[in-house]
Amino acid sequence: MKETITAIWNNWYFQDFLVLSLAGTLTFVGLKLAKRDFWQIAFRQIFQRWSVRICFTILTLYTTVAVLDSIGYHPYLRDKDGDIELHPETKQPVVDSKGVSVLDIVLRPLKNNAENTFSAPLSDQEFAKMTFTTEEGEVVRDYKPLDHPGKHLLGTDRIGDDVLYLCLKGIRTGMVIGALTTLLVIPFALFFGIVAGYFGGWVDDVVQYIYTTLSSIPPILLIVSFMVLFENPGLPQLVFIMGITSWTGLCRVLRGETMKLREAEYVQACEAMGVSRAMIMIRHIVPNVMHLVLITVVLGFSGRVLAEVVLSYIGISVGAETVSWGSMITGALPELSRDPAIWWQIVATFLFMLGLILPANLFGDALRDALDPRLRTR
Amino acid sequence: MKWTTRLNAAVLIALALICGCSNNPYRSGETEEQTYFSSFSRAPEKLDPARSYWMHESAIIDQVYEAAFEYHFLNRPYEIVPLTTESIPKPIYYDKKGKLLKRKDPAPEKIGRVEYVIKVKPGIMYHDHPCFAKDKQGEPIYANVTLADIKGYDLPNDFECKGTRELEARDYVLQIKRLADPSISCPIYSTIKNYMIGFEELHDTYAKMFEDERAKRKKAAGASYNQEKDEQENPFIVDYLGPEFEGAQVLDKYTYKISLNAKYPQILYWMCMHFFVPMPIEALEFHCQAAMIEKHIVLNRCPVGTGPYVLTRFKPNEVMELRRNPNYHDDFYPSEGNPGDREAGYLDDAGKRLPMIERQVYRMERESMSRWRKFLLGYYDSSGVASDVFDSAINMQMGSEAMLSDEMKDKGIKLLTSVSPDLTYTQFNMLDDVVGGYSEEQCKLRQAMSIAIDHNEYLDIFMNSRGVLGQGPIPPGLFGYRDGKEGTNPYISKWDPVRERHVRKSIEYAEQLMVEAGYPNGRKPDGTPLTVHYDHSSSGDPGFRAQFKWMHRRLQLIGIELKERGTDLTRYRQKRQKGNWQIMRNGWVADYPDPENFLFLFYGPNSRVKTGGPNSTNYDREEYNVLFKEMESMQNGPERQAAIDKMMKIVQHDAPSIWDLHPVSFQLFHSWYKNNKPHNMSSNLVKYQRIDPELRRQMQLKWNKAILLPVYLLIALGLLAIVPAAITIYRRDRGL
Repeated sequence: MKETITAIWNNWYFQDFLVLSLAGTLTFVGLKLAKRDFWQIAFRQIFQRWSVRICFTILTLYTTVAVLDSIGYHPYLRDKDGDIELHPETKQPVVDSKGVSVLDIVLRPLKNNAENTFSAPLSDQEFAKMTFTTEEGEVVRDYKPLDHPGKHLLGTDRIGDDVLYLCLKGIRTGMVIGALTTLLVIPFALFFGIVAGYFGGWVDDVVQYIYTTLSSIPPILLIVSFMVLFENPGLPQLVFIMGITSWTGLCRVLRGETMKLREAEYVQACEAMGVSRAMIMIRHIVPNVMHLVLITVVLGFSGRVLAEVVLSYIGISVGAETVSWGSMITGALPELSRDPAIWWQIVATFLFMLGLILPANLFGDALRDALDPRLRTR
Repeated sequence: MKWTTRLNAAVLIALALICGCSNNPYRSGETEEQTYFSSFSRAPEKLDPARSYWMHESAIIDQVYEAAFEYHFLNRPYEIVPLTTESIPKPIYYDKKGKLLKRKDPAPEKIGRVEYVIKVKPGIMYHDHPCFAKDKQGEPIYANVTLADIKGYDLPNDFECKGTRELEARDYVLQIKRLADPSISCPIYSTIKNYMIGFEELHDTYAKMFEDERAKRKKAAGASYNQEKDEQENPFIVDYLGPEFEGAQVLDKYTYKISLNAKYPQILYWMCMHFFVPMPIEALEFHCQAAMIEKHIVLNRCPVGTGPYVLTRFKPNEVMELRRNPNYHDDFYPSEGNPGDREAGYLDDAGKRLPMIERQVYRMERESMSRWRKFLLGYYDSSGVASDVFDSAINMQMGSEAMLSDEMKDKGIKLLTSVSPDLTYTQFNMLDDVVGGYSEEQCKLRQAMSIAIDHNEYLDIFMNSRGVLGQGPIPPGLFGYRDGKEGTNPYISKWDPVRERHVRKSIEYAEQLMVEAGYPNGRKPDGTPLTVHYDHSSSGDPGFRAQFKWMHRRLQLIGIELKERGTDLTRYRQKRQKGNWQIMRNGWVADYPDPENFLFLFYGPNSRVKTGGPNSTNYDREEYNVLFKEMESMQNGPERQAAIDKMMKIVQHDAPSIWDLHPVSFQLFHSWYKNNKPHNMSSNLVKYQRIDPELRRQMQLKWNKAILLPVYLLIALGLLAIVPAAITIYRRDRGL
């Protein structure tokens, strides 16, 4: 079971399909919305602000990196000289089951620049003294010169990996946790929220009971106990459990909004004309709560990226093979108390996270100002 | 006017506070006594000498309890000397028919029984403890106590009435019987049962007694019986004295006898450990009362013994305090040592009565940085060197010993390094289809992986080069370890004469081995990369990720793909129990200074999967097993060395694990802290040590001069900030 999940998750063609279908759906929805006056006006309004334009650009950059890191392929295995390896018997090329993403190909020079251990940003020698043999064959204990001096914009970590490279690879993990969790949340919240709000009565009671119960349990507790179920938990499991623990907030908002809309005149009119309930919900209520979904999603996104850091710290993380900001911060914390301190790891991670979360929050605020009619009149 | 007077008063009070304060974490005057200050980072959980198997716990246990023997403080190689006994007993051999063997060192196969007769010195008293307190009729005062009787007491030392008793041979025998108690689940039970006559049977008898008692209680109480609750309220002690036990017998008040079924000289080393300390029956009876258990006044928290110190404060998450035992028996500082000990000052206190330190205080320090700062300021008397601060503390020069930085030298701090008798090793599961097995190809795969995972680089990256590259299971300092060139593991290492250390063979050679192993370029026969799994339980450990990635990168050099399989500790142990893993990393700390303690990690019948023993790689090679049995009972000498050399060759070739490294410990001591020769076997060293409190006080004063200028500046700034407010109020009062 667990092996299959991991195998499917690690298959690049599956991921390509996922990313492309997601992009397709988003474009489709976007085009649909763009035809409506309400959304046109709103977007025109928010893009008038220069801060929003900057935020949007930054977010697009992050998304591009994440998308590049999410599409890839499985090349043929090559030996050290770069020649394609053949199956010993069938003489067919062998496919590399690990595969590479487009970003891996772009960042290959950075990845291959690895050093032995810590080095400060743009430094040309290692951070700590080490015993080594110089080119002249002399054994000394000194700061060892780097193999790639001055090439590491953000320094290197304990085992000599370029911190910039790690930060860039961490973008995908952060975005996947933020975005995929959100995608999991929306259907749950939309369905339960609207059904509860529209039908009221015992349906409402049941839904309310579920989400009050769920939200009264600390999410950390649920996540920890869920992750223990798995032998070797990784990113998909983390996304899944974060999704099912965090739909309650949006659900609550949607329920309230639906209760309000249910009494709106156009809904009343539909009911009077005998339109089926399902139709009313799909045609009239869902589009009219979409702005709330968008706002909550964008604002919730940053919360989930941050949650990963906390979870990493208490030992629930995406697995040692995946790079994530949370695990980078956790790993860099003890180095801060070194004398002299190794600051660049934590600072770089911090800047990269800030670069994602601050624009996401500003953008979310701007969206709310534009889309929430009560705030728009201000 | 009103405002200004108040302001003045406030400033005066603040100044007074500042001047009266210092950064001293102890009460004033506390540091002027013969008190040793140290820290601990992990709370001890079990102080019961039959239960504990942890270093940080024996640091306390060994100071309160005393085994029959101890290691000589100064002599190296380690030598066993009597502690509570008259002498070191000589083994008495009997043949299979029970006839006494006259020869001094008979062949192992002739021996049917070995006896050690141990004579305890008369006149040794336990420390004062309420369990020995008796009333006028001679009945124990604290028998059948209720919760009300012991209100306000936390440790036995707090009790009002205390008594003492002379140490007797039966106390030692009682403790040995406790090791067989199934409810204690002693960690060394599985080793001892192989040697001590009747030990396993005793275990079964006790187990049966437990079952019978449980069944009886269950029957008496009926269907509503709550076993856990009942046993909490009415604990039952096993009747240790009841069953016959041949393995350990009391001969007279001061003499007892240990009987083994085979020649096993290592038993004397075991008897230096806290598993073989005396346990007074009074203490068991005292602590097994329901009220005591309710108040957690139990053996796991309250050690009772004849040792130099008494545990007087035990808050395992905050502070622990030991005080000198006033009843401590005659024990003197050794007057002889190794050559050079006199020059090093280790014999300055020769012949003095022990212990010299009156009191020890251990404080919990979770953060290594804060512990380090306090050491530098003189508030801890000794410290290790965390790798975070290594470069600022230690100057490592090539070709010479590690030296302290100038700042440390100016403070008079002393550095002592010693190779710990520990082994860190990366194990392969020999039962696994891929990494296990004994065919030449499979051995070559493991050799290739051993070469690729170059622990010299590991030492540099993760441990500030503080370690010795392992060549086999035996660590330096133990008999059988071969130093330098002749100790080189010929399959994976070579000797580097310039740096005088072992280095791994080249990656090209490893690649060649991979070809011979049937994995050219790291590819399996079907052309896909060979994937191996690293099983661990340290997903939450911040340092783990870097270590895993390092291993991953090293194995990639020979085309192997390393994957991690992380689980929680319970499941990790299950995997080990079932042999359901590929690669793991572990450490082994010497119990006693004998190579057998390390070689038994690869002895077939000790297999973890088959018998639950310490051989977790499940390595089982007939030749090795035979040699092990021979080597085990030999006296140290050329013959034994030859056997060990042969065994080393076998494990080096088969490579059931990668011999990672033997760590080097760095210890720092302040100048006022005397007599600290590194000793890696004993945890009972404080009794030999001495503090110069006057020197300590002076140094602490010198190093902790308060820098008050920033404080004054801060106050001045605060005052300045008040000015505008004062002006506003002044104006408002005036109605301006």
